[in-house]
Amino acid sequence: MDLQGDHYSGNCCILAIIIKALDKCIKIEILMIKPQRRGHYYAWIILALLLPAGIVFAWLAISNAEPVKWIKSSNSDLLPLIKSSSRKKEYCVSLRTDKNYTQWQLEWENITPLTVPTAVIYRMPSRNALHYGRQGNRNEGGGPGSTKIEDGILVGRIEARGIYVFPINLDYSGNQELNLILYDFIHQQIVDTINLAL
Amino acid sequence: MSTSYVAVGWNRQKKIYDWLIFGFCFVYLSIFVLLSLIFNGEITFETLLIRSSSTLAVLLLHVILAIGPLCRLNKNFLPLLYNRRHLGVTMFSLALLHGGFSIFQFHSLSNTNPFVSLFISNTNYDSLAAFPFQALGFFALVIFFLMAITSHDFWLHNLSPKVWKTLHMFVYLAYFLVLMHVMFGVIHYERNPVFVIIIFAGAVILVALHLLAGIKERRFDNRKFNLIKGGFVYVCSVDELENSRAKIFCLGKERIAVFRHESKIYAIHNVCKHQGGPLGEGKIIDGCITCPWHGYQYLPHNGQSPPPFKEKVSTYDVKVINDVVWLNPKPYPEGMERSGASLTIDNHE
Repeated sequence: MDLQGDHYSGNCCILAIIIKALDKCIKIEILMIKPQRRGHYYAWIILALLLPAGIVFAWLAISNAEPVKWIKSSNSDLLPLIKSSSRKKEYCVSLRTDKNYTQWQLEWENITPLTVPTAVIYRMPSRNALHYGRQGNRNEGGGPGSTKIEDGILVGRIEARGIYVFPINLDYSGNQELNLILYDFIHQQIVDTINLAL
Repeated sequence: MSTSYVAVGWNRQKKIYDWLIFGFCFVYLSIFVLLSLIFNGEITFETLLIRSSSTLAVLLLHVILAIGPLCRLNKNFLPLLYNRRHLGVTMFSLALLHGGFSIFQFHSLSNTNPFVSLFISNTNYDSLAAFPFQALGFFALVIFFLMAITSHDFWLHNLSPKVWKTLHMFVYLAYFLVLMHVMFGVIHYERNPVFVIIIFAGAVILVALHLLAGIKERRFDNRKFNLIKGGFVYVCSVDELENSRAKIFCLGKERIAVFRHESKIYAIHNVCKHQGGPLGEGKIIDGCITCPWHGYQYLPHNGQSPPPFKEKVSTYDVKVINDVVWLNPKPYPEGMERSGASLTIDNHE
C-alpha cells in the first residue's frame, strides 16, 4: 500500500523523493499503532501546558493603550466654522467649531481610498510642532509631543472611504496645536501625522 | 476502498451529513450577520465576512478535534467520525475565506506583495503586546491547506498511511497557532473577557476530552494477561463475546480483535488498513468485518477485503477450550487463511 518512489516519474519525482525521505524519517511502524496512540496522548499533554500558558501570556501582554473600539462618527450637523484645516493628496482634515468656540468637531474626508483599512485617529499630547516620519515607530518619544500610542487619546476609527465627523473636547485658549496621528493598528505603525493650528 | 478514483464516494448518509453541515453553517452565518447588524450597525461587509467566517471556522475546528476522543469514550459518536473529513474541508474553506479576504483587505492595497506585506508590515516579533498575529494564522492556514488537499483516500494510499497520519498530526500545531492568532489578534483589540473565557473553555474541553480518552486507551493497552499455555493466552470466556461482534485485547505491542461469527471464533489484527480504525469496534455485516470508521471490510477467516479490493490484515490462531477463549498473539502474514475455533468441536478438547 505504501508509495514506492520509483513509481513516480517526471514532475512527480521530487514528490516521490520527499515521500521516500519522510517514510524513512518516520520510525513508527504502521502495524504498530500503539506508539501513535501514545503520540496523540503526549501531544495533548504538551498542549495542556502550552495552551493555558499562551492564553494567559497573551491576555497579560495586552498593552495599556486605549483599546481600538469602533467609535461612531457623529450624525449631528456639521458645526459652521472651520478653524483649521489640513489638505493632503489622500484626505482633508478640518477642525470645526461654533462661533463661541464651545463645541468642536474633527471632520475627516477621504479624497482617495485609504491604503490602510485599519486606520484609527489618535490625538496626541500637544506641543508646538511635530515632525514625525511616515514610518514612525510606536515606541518613539514620550511626554508632550510623544508618538507613543499609549499616550494618545483615541478619536475614532475610519474606513477606506467616506467622510467622518468626530466630536472632540478642546479647551481653547489660542496659540495651540492639535496633534493627530493616523495609526494602522494591524500593522502597528504610524501612517501619518496631522498638526492643526488652533 | 474503491479500485478507481472517485472524487467523493457519495452515499445517502454522506449527503444527509453534508446537508446538515451546510444548514448549520448557513444558520450560524445568518445569526452572526443579524446580531452584528443589530449591535453594530456601522460594521462593513468586509469586516462582517472576515469575522463571521473566522468564528465559524474556529467553532468547527473545535468540533472536529472533539470527535476523535468522543468516539473513543462513547461509540454513539462514531457516525460523526465517518464524516469528519467533509467537516474538515468545510472548516478549511471557511478559514481560507477568512485568510484570503484578510490578506486582500489588509495587504493588497500597498505596492508590496501581499504575502510579503503579511510578514514585514509588523515586525514586532520580539514583542508580546504587538506580536504580528497574522503570521500565526497564515501558518495554521498552510497546515489546514495541506491537510485538506491530502484528505482524499488517493493521497492516503499514495503518501502511505504513516506519512499521511504524521502530516495530519500537525493539526495540533495548527490548533495552537489558531488560538494564539485569536488571542494576539482580536482579543488584543476587542479586550472582551467573554471572548477569552470562550476560547479558554474550548481549549479546556478539548484537552480534557483528549486526555480522558488517552488515559482510557493507555489503561486498555497496559492490561496484563498472565495465563499462558503453549503460546496461547487466556483472554475471555465465550459468553463474553456477542455474536457478530468482537472484543479487543492488547497483547504485547498491538491490539487483536477476537470476533464471534455464527459458530466460530476468529482473530484478526485490530487496525484497519485504511486509516487505522479499530476493526474490533465494528461488527460483521454480510459476513464481513466492517470498520466502524469508514466501512472498509475484511473477511473474518483470512483478514482479506472481499474481491476486487486488496486490503489485508494479519490473522491469529485462536482456540476454545471449555468455553474459554485462548489466543496466540503471534501474527500470521496478512491475508493468511485460518480456520477459526469452532465452538462445538474445540469445546471438547
